[in-house]
Amino acid sequence: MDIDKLLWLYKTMVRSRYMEEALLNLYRQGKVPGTLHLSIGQEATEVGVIAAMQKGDLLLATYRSHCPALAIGIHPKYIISEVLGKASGVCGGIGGSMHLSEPQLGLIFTSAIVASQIPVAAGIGYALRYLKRDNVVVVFVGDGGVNNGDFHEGLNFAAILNAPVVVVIVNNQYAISMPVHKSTKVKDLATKAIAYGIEGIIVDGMNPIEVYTKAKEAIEKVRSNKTPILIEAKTYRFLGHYAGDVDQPYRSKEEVEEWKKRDPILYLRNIIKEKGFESKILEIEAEAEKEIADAVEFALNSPYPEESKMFENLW
Amino acid sequence: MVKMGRIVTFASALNEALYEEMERDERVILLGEDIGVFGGVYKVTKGLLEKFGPSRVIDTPISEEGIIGTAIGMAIMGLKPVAEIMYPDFLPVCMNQLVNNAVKIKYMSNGKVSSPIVVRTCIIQGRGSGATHSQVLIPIFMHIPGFQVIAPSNPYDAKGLLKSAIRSERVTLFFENVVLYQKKGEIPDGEYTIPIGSAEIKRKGKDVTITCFSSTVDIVLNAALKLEKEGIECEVIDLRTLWPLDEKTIIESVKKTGRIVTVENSWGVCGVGSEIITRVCEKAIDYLLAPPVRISPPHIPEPASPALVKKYVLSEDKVIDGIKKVIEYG
Repeated sequence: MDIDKLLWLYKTMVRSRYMEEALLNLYRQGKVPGTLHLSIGQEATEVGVIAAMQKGDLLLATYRSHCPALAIGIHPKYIISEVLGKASGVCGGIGGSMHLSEPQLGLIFTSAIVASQIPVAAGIGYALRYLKRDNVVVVFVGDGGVNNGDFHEGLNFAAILNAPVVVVIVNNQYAISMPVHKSTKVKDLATKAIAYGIEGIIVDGMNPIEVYTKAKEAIEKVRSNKTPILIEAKTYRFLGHYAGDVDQPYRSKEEVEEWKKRDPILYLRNIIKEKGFESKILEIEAEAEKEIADAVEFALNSPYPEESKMFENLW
Repeated sequence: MVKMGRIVTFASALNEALYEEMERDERVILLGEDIGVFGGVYKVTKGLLEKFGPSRVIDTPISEEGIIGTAIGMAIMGLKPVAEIMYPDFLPVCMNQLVNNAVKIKYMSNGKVSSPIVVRTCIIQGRGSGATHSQVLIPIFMHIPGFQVIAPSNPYDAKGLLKSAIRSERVTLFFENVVLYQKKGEIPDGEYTIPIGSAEIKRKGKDVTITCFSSTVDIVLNAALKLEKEGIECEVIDLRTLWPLDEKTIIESVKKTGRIVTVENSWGVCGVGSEIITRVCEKAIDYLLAPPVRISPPHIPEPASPALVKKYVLSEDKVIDGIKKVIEYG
């Protein structure tokens, strides 16, 4: 892989990590309304897949939304503002942390209703084909989503409609507290593709290079064949389900520490360093630090939306 | 006044609406169970597959979340999907897509993304099919912000309102009714639409205001004819659109008659009548000469036995009893 792509992957994961650490900090200070779900630990999956998308390709993601939103190109200041419910947020403070949209950049929406975005992706994929657009729609769902009816109905619709849909299971091992091995008898979630007559592939979701490479291959295959592909990325969230899930009685500290050894950011940092680009790494980190600090300040100093705004866009 | 031209059935008026809108705009796409090759269980979509092809008339599996979710995705991309959910009883199966996606996406995205879908469904109340093939469920969709809810009573309204719904930028639930499908009525030869959100006074009267919609309109009009002979003059309002509710027409009528009776085929608890009577109390209570009356089926699931169905559904007699109650109060 060329160095520019490696540096982009690194930069995007670092920006996301810093942004989410800043959000966690704001949460602990009581400045975040509602709930907050962080991608820390699983950035390789989200960033790697999005890096493989082409211009005009579309994305639907989950309530673990900030990292995908940043990776697709939304500036962190608009993401943090939205999380804080500010008028300057990407959705004017109306959507909140779990509901981010920026269709011009390809992000249709992120959904807090588990798996509900998959049938929607089938319809978007159908429309792309109907409108003769050579694009695909990528949809993220967690391991917690695979046992939901919409996972089944959405994948089946995508398959029978020959819709260019790439369904990515971000298998971070837990649906809140429910470990994946207890929620299904299926060992590899990608094998569920058999039920829809489509291809399923497994990727190491902690390895951004592998995610990018395999997702790229899958996306291009879907683009030309107009048949969905199911990708399972095996990954891990280092923090709790949401920012307030601190104790995590459902998993051991040892297990978390074991996965943390595979931190995708450290992994990629070493690879880039070995290639002799350490100065670039330091540059990226310094820039990201400043960018996020500025973004937090921007969000904190932004006004809340006017009351009249809450009556808009119902119809 | 629209120049009338032809006599058609309610079902063929709907078929014409779909045909014309599909011909007018190639973004209009139909999807649902048995709507293509089979032509719809009541033949409302007959001939459309042959005319417009399988890319625009999509037969789907029995998979209501899939149908509505797919329709939402199409609408997000600028297509104009008209989804058919065979009976309202199956709306709860896709309630998640309707409530959490269809009417939330535009709001939550601050208007950046919208999903204007039309969902057609057919009420089959009172046919002896039992409790899960008989429900109306209309008030649920008035309660949740974001739906426009339409339930026409005649071929003219059915065609004009369905065309308006397809052209609308809102999420529409369009309730048809099996007892109306073969009902005949006059429609113009040419193009017409009917504005959504406007009720129609079907009959003028000075003694009592009666609101109704869908299949209950004919029941009420027949009751009004009988009461006329007893000297009671009923003002009958066909709501046509349940949400947004044409409050102005109702309030103005009640201010004139001083009495309100609401008739609905949905359950009365938190029903259409509850909302109407609340508004009447809020805006015209000083005009009321008698306590309002709600007429609806009893608050139980619909039984299957024909002997019990007869007791369950609305009848002219029930409506007449209700109207007399408000008149005799004084």
